[in-house]
Amino acid sequence: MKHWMLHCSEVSEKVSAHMDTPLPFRERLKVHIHLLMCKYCLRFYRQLRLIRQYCKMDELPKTDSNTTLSPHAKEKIKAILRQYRDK
Amino acid sequence: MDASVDMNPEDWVDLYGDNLFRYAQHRVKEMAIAEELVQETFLAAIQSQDLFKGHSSEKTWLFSILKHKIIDYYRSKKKEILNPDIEEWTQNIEDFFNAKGAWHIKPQAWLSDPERAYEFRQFLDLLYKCLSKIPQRIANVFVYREIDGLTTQEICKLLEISVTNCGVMLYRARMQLRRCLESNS
Repeated sequence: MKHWMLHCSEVSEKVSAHMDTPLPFRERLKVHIHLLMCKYCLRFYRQLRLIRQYCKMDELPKTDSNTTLSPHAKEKIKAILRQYRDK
Repeated sequence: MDASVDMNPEDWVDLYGDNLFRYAQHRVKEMAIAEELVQETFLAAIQSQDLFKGHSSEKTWLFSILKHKIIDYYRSKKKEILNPDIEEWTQNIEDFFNAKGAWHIKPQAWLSDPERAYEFRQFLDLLYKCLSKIPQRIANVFVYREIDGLTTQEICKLLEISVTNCGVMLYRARMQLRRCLESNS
Protein backbone atom coordinates (compact mmCIF):
# COMPACT_ATOMS: atom_id res chain seq x y z
CA MET A 1 0.00 0.00 0.00
CA LYS A 2 1.46 3.31 -1.05
CA HIS A 3 1.16 5.23 2.20
CA TRP A 4 2.02 8.55 0.66
CA MET A 5 -0.78 8.34 -1.88
CA LEU A 6 -4.09 9.74 -0.83
CA HIS A 7 -7.36 7.86 -1.15
CA CYS A 8 -10.28 9.51 -2.90
CA SER A 9 -12.09 9.67 0.43
CA GLU A 10 -9.23 11.70 1.90
CA VAL A 11 -8.98 13.89 -1.17
CA SER A 12 -12.67 14.72 -1.07
CA GLU A 13 -12.28 15.91 2.53
CA LYS A 14 -9.23 18.00 1.70
CA VAL A 15 -10.80 19.52 -1.37
CA SER A 16 -13.79 20.57 0.70
CA ALA A 17 -11.55 21.98 3.43
CA HIS A 18 -9.60 23.95 0.84
CA MET A 19 -12.80 25.67 -0.21
CA ASP A 20 -12.82 27.40 3.15
CA THR A 21 -9.24 27.56 4.35
CA PRO A 22 -6.35 27.06 1.93
CA LEU A 23 -4.49 23.85 2.60
CA PRO A 24 -0.86 23.96 3.66
CA PHE A 25 1.54 23.60 0.74
CA ARG A 26 2.41 19.95 1.25
CA GLU A 27 -1.23 18.92 1.51
CA ARG A 28 -2.10 20.96 -1.53
CA LEU A 29 0.67 19.24 -3.47
CA LYS A 30 -0.52 15.76 -2.53
CA VAL A 31 -4.07 16.64 -3.52
CA HIS A 32 -2.88 18.19 -6.77
CA ILE A 33 -0.99 15.04 -7.71
CA HIS A 34 -4.03 12.93 -6.95
CA LEU A 35 -6.22 15.19 -9.10
CA LEU A 36 -3.80 14.77 -12.00
CA MET A 37 -4.36 11.04 -11.86
CA CYS A 38 -7.98 10.76 -10.78
CA LYS A 39 -10.63 12.11 -13.10
CA TYR A 40 -13.39 11.44 -10.55
CA CYS A 41 -11.86 13.58 -7.87
CA LEU A 42 -11.06 16.21 -10.44
CA ARG A 43 -14.74 16.24 -11.41
CA PHE A 44 -15.65 16.48 -7.75
CA TYR A 45 -13.38 19.47 -7.27
CA ARG A 46 -14.69 21.23 -10.36
CA GLN A 47 -18.27 20.53 -9.38
CA LEU A 48 -17.80 22.05 -5.94
CA ARG A 49 -16.34 25.12 -7.61
CA LEU A 50 -19.29 25.27 -10.00
CA ILE A 51 -21.80 25.03 -7.17
CA ARG A 52 -20.04 27.88 -5.38
CA GLN A 53 -19.95 30.00 -8.50
CA TYR A 54 -23.64 29.50 -9.23
CA CYS A 55 -24.61 30.23 -5.64
CA LYS A 56 -22.76 33.53 -5.88
CA MET A 57 -24.48 34.38 -9.13
CA ASP A 58 -27.94 33.85 -7.68
CA GLU A 59 -29.44 37.22 -8.40
CA LEU A 60 -32.83 38.70 -8.95
CA PRO A 61 -34.26 37.57 -12.29
CA LYS A 62 -34.11 40.34 -14.86
CA THR A 63 -37.29 39.27 -16.60
CA ASP A 64 -40.77 39.84 -15.23
CA SER A 65 -40.18 43.32 -13.89
CA ASN A 66 -43.96 43.63 -13.85
CA THR A 67 -44.22 41.17 -11.01
CA THR A 68 -44.86 43.24 -7.95
CA LEU A 69 -46.43 42.86 -4.56
CA SER A 70 -49.97 44.12 -4.65
CA PRO A 71 -50.67 47.30 -2.65
CA HIS A 72 -52.99 45.18 -0.55
CA ALA A 73 -50.23 42.71 0.25
CA LYS A 74 -47.87 45.53 1.14
CA GLU A 75 -50.37 47.07 3.51
CA LYS A 76 -51.01 43.72 5.09
CA ILE A 77 -47.32 43.22 5.77
CA LYS A 78 -46.91 46.73 7.12
CA ALA A 79 -49.82 46.17 9.46
CA ILE A 80 -48.24 42.98 10.76
CA LEU A 81 -44.95 44.76 11.32
CA ARG A 82 -46.72 47.57 13.16
CA GLN A 83 -48.49 45.02 15.31
CA TYR A 84 -45.20 43.42 16.22
CA ARG A 85 -43.60 46.71 17.09
CA ASP A 86 -46.49 47.83 19.25
CA LYS A 87 -46.34 44.68 21.38
CA MET B 1 -25.17 50.87 9.85
CA ASP B 2 -26.94 52.16 12.97
CA ALA B 3 -29.05 54.49 10.88
CA SER B 4 -30.39 51.52 8.95
CA VAL B 5 -31.37 49.71 12.10
CA ASP B 6 -33.28 52.75 13.31
CA MET B 7 -35.03 52.93 9.97
CA ASN B 8 -38.71 52.16 9.98
CA PRO B 9 -39.18 48.51 8.94
CA GLU B 10 -42.25 49.57 7.01
CA ASP B 11 -39.95 51.46 4.69
CA TRP B 12 -38.22 48.18 3.93
CA VAL B 13 -41.49 46.95 2.47
CA ASP B 14 -41.58 49.83 0.01
CA LEU B 15 -37.90 49.59 -0.79
CA TYR B 16 -37.45 45.84 -1.10
CA GLY B 17 -40.90 44.25 -1.13
CA ASP B 18 -41.22 44.00 -4.89
CA ASN B 19 -37.73 42.61 -5.40
CA LEU B 20 -38.15 40.02 -2.69
CA PHE B 21 -41.51 39.03 -4.09
CA ARG B 22 -40.14 38.72 -7.60
CA TYR B 23 -37.36 36.44 -6.39
CA ALA B 24 -39.70 34.33 -4.30
CA GLN B 25 -42.18 33.92 -7.12
CA HIS B 26 -39.35 32.92 -9.41
CA ARG B 27 -38.53 30.07 -7.03
CA VAL B 28 -41.85 28.82 -5.74
CA LYS B 29 -44.00 29.82 -8.74
CA GLU B 30 -47.24 30.29 -6.78
CA MET B 31 -47.97 33.98 -6.08
CA ALA B 32 -49.78 33.33 -2.82
CA ILE B 33 -46.89 31.31 -1.43
CA ALA B 34 -44.41 33.91 -2.64
CA GLU B 35 -46.37 36.61 -0.85
CA GLU B 36 -46.45 34.59 2.33
CA LEU B 37 -42.71 33.99 2.19
CA VAL B 38 -42.03 37.71 1.76
CA GLN B 39 -44.27 38.42 4.72
CA GLU B 40 -42.41 35.88 6.83
CA THR B 41 -39.14 37.40 5.73
CA PHE B 42 -40.03 40.88 6.93
CA LEU B 43 -41.36 39.51 10.18
CA ALA B 44 -38.20 37.52 10.77
CA ALA B 45 -36.16 40.59 9.92
CA ILE B 46 -37.89 42.81 12.44
CA GLN B 47 -37.51 40.09 15.07
CA SER B 48 -33.79 39.81 14.56
CA GLN B 49 -32.72 43.34 13.81
CA ASP B 50 -29.76 43.07 16.14
CA LEU B 51 -28.36 40.22 14.04
CA PHE B 52 -28.28 42.56 11.07
CA LYS B 53 -25.36 44.52 12.47
CA GLY B 54 -22.25 43.57 10.54
CA HIS B 55 -24.04 42.33 7.48
CA SER B 56 -23.19 43.88 4.14
CA SER B 57 -26.47 45.60 3.42
CA GLU B 58 -30.11 45.43 4.35
CA LYS B 59 -30.99 44.13 0.92
CA THR B 60 -28.49 41.26 1.11
CA TRP B 61 -29.64 40.44 4.62
CA LEU B 62 -33.31 40.39 3.68
CA PHE B 63 -32.58 38.22 0.68
CA SER B 64 -30.65 35.83 2.91
CA ILE B 65 -33.64 35.47 5.18
CA LEU B 66 -35.90 34.91 2.20
CA LYS B 67 -33.70 32.20 0.77
CA HIS B 68 -33.71 30.37 4.10
CA LYS B 69 -37.49 30.67 4.15
CA ILE B 70 -37.75 29.23 0.64
CA ILE B 71 -35.72 26.20 1.68
CA ASP B 72 -37.88 25.80 4.78
CA TYR B 73 -40.93 25.94 2.57
CA TYR B 74 -39.61 23.18 0.31
CA ARG B 75 -38.79 21.18 3.42
CA SER B 76 -42.36 21.45 4.63
CA LYS B 77 -43.96 20.41 1.37
CA LYS B 78 -45.61 17.05 1.66
CA LYS B 79 -45.59 16.56 -2.10
CA GLU B 80 -42.37 15.07 -3.39
CA ILE B 81 -40.35 17.75 -5.14
CA LEU B 82 -37.53 15.57 -6.29
CA ASN B 83 -37.27 12.15 -7.91
CA PRO B 84 -38.44 9.79 -5.16
CA ASP B 85 -36.41 6.90 -6.52
CA ILE B 86 -33.15 8.63 -5.84
CA GLU B 87 -32.30 8.12 -2.21
CA GLU B 88 -28.57 7.75 -2.58
CA TRP B 89 -27.78 11.31 -1.63
CA THR B 90 -29.07 10.75 1.87
CA GLN B 91 -26.38 8.17 2.41
CA ASN B 92 -24.09 8.22 5.37
CA ILE B 93 -20.85 9.89 4.51
CA GLU B 94 -19.07 6.54 4.87
CA ASP B 95 -21.22 5.06 2.10
CA PHE B 96 -19.84 7.46 -0.48
CA PHE B 97 -16.60 5.48 -0.48
CA ASN B 98 -15.76 1.80 -0.42
CA ALA B 99 -13.44 0.05 1.99
CA LYS B 100 -10.42 1.04 -0.12
CA GLY B 101 -11.32 4.70 0.02
CA ALA B 102 -12.37 4.90 -3.62
CA TRP B 103 -15.64 6.41 -4.83
CA HIS B 104 -18.57 4.07 -4.47
CA ILE B 105 -20.63 6.03 -6.99
CA LYS B 106 -18.17 7.87 -9.19
CA PRO B 107 -18.82 11.55 -9.96
CA GLN B 108 -20.21 11.88 -13.46
CA ALA B 109 -19.27 14.48 -16.01
CA TRP B 110 -21.74 17.35 -15.83
CA LEU B 111 -22.58 18.34 -19.35
CA SER B 112 -23.28 21.97 -20.08
CA ASP B 113 -26.38 22.84 -21.97
CA PRO B 114 -25.63 25.13 -24.91
CA GLU B 115 -28.31 27.53 -23.73
CA ARG B 116 -26.50 28.67 -20.60
CA ALA B 117 -29.18 30.89 -19.08
CA TYR B 118 -31.71 28.07 -19.00
CA GLU B 119 -29.21 25.67 -17.51
CA PHE B 120 -28.28 28.15 -14.81
CA ARG B 121 -31.89 28.72 -13.73
CA GLN B 122 -32.61 25.00 -13.67
CA PHE B 123 -29.50 24.42 -11.63
CA LEU B 124 -30.43 26.92 -8.96
CA ASP B 125 -34.00 25.64 -8.77
CA LEU B 126 -32.66 22.16 -8.19
CA LEU B 127 -30.07 23.43 -5.73
CA TYR B 128 -32.68 24.90 -3.43
CA LYS B 129 -34.80 21.79 -3.62
CA CYS B 130 -31.82 19.58 -2.85
CA LEU B 131 -30.92 21.76 0.12
CA SER B 132 -34.36 21.09 1.55
CA LYS B 133 -33.63 17.37 1.45
CA ILE B 134 -30.38 17.54 3.36
CA PRO B 135 -30.60 17.44 7.17
CA GLN B 136 -31.39 20.97 8.30
CA ARG B 137 -28.39 21.56 10.57
CA ILE B 138 -26.01 20.60 7.80
CA ALA B 139 -27.90 22.45 5.06
CA ASN B 140 -27.89 25.63 7.14
CA VAL B 141 -24.12 25.67 7.39
CA PHE B 142 -23.87 25.34 3.63
CA VAL B 143 -26.36 28.16 3.07
CA TYR B 144 -24.54 30.44 5.53
CA ARG B 145 -21.26 29.76 3.78
CA GLU B 146 -22.10 29.67 0.09
CA ILE B 147 -25.30 31.69 -0.20
CA ASP B 148 -25.05 34.15 2.69
CA GLY B 149 -21.31 34.43 2.20
CA LEU B 150 -20.24 34.12 5.82
CA THR B 151 -16.71 33.00 6.65
CA THR B 152 -16.17 29.83 8.62
CA GLN B 153 -15.20 31.92 11.63
CA GLU B 154 -18.47 33.83 11.45
CA ILE B 155 -20.45 30.62 11.16
CA CYS B 156 -18.64 29.07 14.10
CA LYS B 157 -19.42 32.11 16.19
CA LEU B 158 -23.05 32.23 15.09
CA LEU B 159 -23.75 28.57 15.74
CA GLU B 160 -21.30 28.22 18.63
CA ILE B 161 -19.53 25.28 17.08
CA SER B 162 -15.88 24.44 16.59
CA VAL B 163 -14.03 25.06 13.33
CA THR B 164 -13.60 21.30 12.95
CA ASN B 165 -17.29 20.69 13.41
CA CYS B 166 -18.08 23.38 10.88
CA GLY B 167 -15.71 21.80 8.37
CA VAL B 168 -17.28 18.40 8.82
CA MET B 169 -20.77 19.79 8.27
CA LEU B 170 -19.73 21.68 5.18
CA TYR B 171 -18.11 18.54 3.84
CA ARG B 172 -21.22 16.46 4.45
CA ALA B 173 -23.44 19.13 2.91
CA ARG B 174 -21.28 19.41 -0.19
CA MET B 175 -21.10 15.66 -0.64
CA GLN B 176 -24.83 15.20 -0.33
CA LEU B 177 -25.75 18.25 -2.31
CA ARG B 178 -23.41 17.37 -5.19
CA ARG B 179 -24.81 13.87 -5.35
CA CYS B 180 -28.40 15.13 -5.19
CA LEU B 181 -27.79 17.58 -8.02
CA GLU B 182 -26.16 14.89 -10.10
CA SER B 183 -28.86 12.32 -9.64
CA ASN B 184 -31.72 14.70 -10.34
CA SER B 185 -30.51 16.26 -13.55
